[in-house]
Amino acid sequence: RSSQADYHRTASDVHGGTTNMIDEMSARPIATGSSVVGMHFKNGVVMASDCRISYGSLSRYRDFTRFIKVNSDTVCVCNGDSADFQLLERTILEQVRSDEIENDGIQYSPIKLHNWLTCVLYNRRTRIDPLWNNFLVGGLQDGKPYLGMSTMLGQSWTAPYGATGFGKHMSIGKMRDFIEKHGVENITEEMAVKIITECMQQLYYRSTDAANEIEIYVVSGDGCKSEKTTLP
Amino acid sequence: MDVDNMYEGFSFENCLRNTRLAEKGLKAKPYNKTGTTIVGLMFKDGVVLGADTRATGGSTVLSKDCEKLHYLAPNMYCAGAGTAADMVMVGNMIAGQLNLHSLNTDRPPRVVTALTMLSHYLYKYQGYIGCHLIVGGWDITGPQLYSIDSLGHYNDDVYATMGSGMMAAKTVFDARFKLDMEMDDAIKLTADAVAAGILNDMGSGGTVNLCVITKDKTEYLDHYRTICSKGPRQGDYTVKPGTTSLISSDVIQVVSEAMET
Repeated sequence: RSSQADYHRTASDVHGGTTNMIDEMSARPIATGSSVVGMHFKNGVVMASDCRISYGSLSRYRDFTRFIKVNSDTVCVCNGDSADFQLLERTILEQVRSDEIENDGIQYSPIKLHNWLTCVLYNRRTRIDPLWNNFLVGGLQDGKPYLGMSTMLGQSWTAPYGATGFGKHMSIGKMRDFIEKHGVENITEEMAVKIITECMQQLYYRSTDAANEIEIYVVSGDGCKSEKTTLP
Repeated sequence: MDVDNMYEGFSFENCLRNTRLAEKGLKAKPYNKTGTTIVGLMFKDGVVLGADTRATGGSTVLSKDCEKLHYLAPNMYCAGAGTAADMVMVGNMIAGQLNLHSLNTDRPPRVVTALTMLSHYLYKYQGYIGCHLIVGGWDITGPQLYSIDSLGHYNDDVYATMGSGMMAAKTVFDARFKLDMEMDDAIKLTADAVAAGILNDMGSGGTVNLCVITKDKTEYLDHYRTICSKGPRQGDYTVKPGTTSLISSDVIQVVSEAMET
């Protein structure tokens, strides 16, 4: 039996002592990002996250982008371990580059990225070596807004609104209410950005790992634009 | 009674037995919990307490219409989340103690009295009495609102939410609360907060119950708002006379003798 701390399981704990101690798997996230939120609007999607990476209770990096801009139609963002995020970021961007080299007109789209991410996350969780991230993939799919969620366990779904982490408890209700009241076809970009900002504000009030420097990505017919703001 | 050996507080005798039973595979029955949204709000003239009406045991809804706003005194109510039985019993006990205290002192009871009694009682049992409460009322010192958790920690605030739907409700309060609201706005905001809990939390459901406590009166608004109603029946399922055709009838006289005892 491993003599390490409870949260640091080794392969031998999992497989029953038949493999060597070299394969060690971490069972917890180390440097983490907090919640992300996203929702549909008339012409696209708005997603937001804050720019902080926490190292336990230390606010380690204050200007970290957790977004991956894949192309002008596809963006994804996640919460959770930042090392796992960066691994996926490298892999995705590498794939994008090789697509560009191939130059056959086939590009990433939200649904492709979402499906691929789900497969990867599920595969890693099945190997009891998860990538500790919950992803939000957003963009325009065939001209229509698309927002997909992939959790670290490999769950995946699409919805007009999505949130990870604390956002699940605090923001989903607000976005859901707003969308049901107005209908996605009637929500303009300004309205969506306002609601998303209010969600991030609420998260900053009540979540201990949230920060007030936030980044908002809007993917619409006009392309993909991002904005960094500081909440009051 | 052997006073020297009298042990006050929670008796932990059965805990060891329970652990051994659990190791052998005995699963504890899911007790009736109120996974809940309870809220309290202080406005200009008083307090509003609100609660949903769902009681759950594990993942089953055991009651769609249970009462979570407990009477403590004519000028004081408490909303409770946690184990339903604990809530009811503690509510009754504290109401009784408050009544006695009030008769003893010849004054209407104060909210801080209830708060102290509850907090001391719950601390003694180290969280094993699963009551998370929001106590609100109007006494001689004005409107009062406190939240207490099962470990005895209390907090005074102008608005409070507790239970599994607390975060959903807190979102509504954080966005729209203002100091010194009017009664109608306060009632609406409280109902909206409970509604947010009902819609977005699985442990909360049913209708919104409110209790408005002001200097002059205490109003219990039962079923103030229904969030999702079942809807009217689509068809008429009553069986009309003559649906079953009568083929034959036979009348038999039954002779019964009255028994004399």
